[in-house]
Amino acid sequence: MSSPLEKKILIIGYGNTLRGDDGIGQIIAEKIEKLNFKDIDILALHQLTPDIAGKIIEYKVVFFIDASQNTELNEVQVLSLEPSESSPKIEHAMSPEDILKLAEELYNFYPKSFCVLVPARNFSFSENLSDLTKSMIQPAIKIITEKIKNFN
Amino acid sequence: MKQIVIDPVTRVEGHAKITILIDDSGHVSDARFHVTEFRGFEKFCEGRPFREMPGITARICGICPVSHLLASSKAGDKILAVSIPPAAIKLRRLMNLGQIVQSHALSFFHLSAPDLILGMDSDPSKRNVFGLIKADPELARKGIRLRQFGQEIIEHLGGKKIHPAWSIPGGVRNGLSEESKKQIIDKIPEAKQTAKLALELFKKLLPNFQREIQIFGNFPSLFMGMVGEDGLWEHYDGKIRFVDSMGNIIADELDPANYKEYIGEAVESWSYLKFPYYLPMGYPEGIYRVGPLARLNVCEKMGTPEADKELLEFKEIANGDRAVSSSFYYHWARLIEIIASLERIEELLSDPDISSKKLRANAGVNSIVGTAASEAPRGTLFHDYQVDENGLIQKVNLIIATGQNNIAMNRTIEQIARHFIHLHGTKIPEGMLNRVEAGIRAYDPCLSCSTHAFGKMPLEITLVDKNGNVIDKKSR
Repeated sequence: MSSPLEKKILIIGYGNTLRGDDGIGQIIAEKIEKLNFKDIDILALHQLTPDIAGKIIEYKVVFFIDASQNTELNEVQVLSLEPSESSPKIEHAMSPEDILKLAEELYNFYPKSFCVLVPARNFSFSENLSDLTKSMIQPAIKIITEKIKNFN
Repeated sequence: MKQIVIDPVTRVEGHAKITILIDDSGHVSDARFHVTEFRGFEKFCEGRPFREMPGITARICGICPVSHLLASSKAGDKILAVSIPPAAIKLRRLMNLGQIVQSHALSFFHLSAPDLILGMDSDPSKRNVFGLIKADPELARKGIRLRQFGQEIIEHLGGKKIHPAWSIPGGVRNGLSEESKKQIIDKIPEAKQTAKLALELFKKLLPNFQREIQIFGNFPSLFMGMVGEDGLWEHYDGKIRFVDSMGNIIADELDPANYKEYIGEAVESWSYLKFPYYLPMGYPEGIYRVGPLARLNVCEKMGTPEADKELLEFKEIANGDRAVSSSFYYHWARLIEIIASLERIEELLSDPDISSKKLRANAGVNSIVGTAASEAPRGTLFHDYQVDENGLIQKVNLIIATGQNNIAMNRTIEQIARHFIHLHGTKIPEGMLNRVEAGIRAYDPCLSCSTHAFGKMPLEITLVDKNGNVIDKKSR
């Protein structure tokens, strides 16, 4: 299975930056953008919508960075992603697995994908991160950049 | 008294549940569309500089950030008390049209088309966009591309991020490059073709939905929307008009800044979503609807050739003189608005003003009040700010499109439930569940905007008697 357009890596950080830790995905994506990696595109989004399926098929590898809703998670977790097994309902906001499923169904292709889950605790109205989530920014960037090296 | 609870409503942005109250004789006595997330956004904004408000409010929602961006910038223009440059107005208009295209495309192709194309009674596990892909893969791909087209316009103007703080009090930060202009123009023919294809398909499917037309919010109400000069369809800056179901204009030329003179906001203990109503008629008699159906009902012409042809045909539903009353027709109105938006985008891009470098008027705080509105995809959006002499926000009130359809959504659920409970007794028939959800989806509510909620959950329906005992339960 190869990407038709042969672009290399897409990093999508998503979440609501008005909801405290929920915005960590966007924050990390923007910090990685400033590192100016070659052949890496960055998207900072509020939420995943169906049209993202049309975007990810341009890439060989995609990383989805999100705040974990598991409040017992204490370190950054990287999971390999596969398309949803069942047909998920489409809502305004979709999961990464749903996006992969949509790409597979629409374009017969989905890129190798990873979900980077960042520990999070505070989802109330705030533009500030909790101390825990703030402390996970550098570890998350390090883990992602190490992973990226494997694909460059 | 028995209760039927549908919790939550799927394919609706945000988080909500529905309770249908059944009296002892087995009839529907009331229906309630509960919105359960607490709204605290206005409080959160207090103390912030008003110039930050477009960037902050645009982050309320991932689907319609541009609506908040524009309404907020316009409220900021009022605080500066300036007239902004013509190019800035036209560029803001361009972005709003891109937003209408992308939001309506998402609503039609991905959220509602499965109901329309696969049928309301088709297998719920297949009645989704994946079922749609199997039935018509090319239509699904075209829908994705149409939404991308609208998104790209927003990105060309505001940059890659979905929440661009591009429009600001006094104007806009950047113009449109010639390269961007060309890229948008090149994609217009395909976008138009897709919109027309969807519209023709919808019209072909209409005979299959006679029952839904009758029971999806088919009742008299007022309709509210902006209009331009001579009743022209307006999406960015116009006067407010109310019409009744008979098509009579009952209020016109209303200044959005004076919304408190004609819009009241009622509160019910069972919902965090307020219930706006037309103040002179009181609550709940002052029920009005906003959004695509309302905009087409209040306007006399779209102002572009293809959309005007479609508007004439649309108005024939109600003999050309009355308002189109069934909320099922929101879908049709949405598709006509996509066509109108595409035609207006084309016009704007050929306007030499749009390339002007004069994009911003500079001023300080000249008024401590700034109130403005624009038309969001789901209806009229009001932003009302009070600031101190330093421009720090003292008070915020947002009147959101989805909230203004709140009374109508409740009545729609009640109408659908009455129809089915009458036929099937107090069990929850699958057909009712499907239609209650689809009836709500016709309004394309955005609960993120109306309550600033987030999250999604699986579907669960519970039938509860007056003592709280569960007597029937369904989940998907």
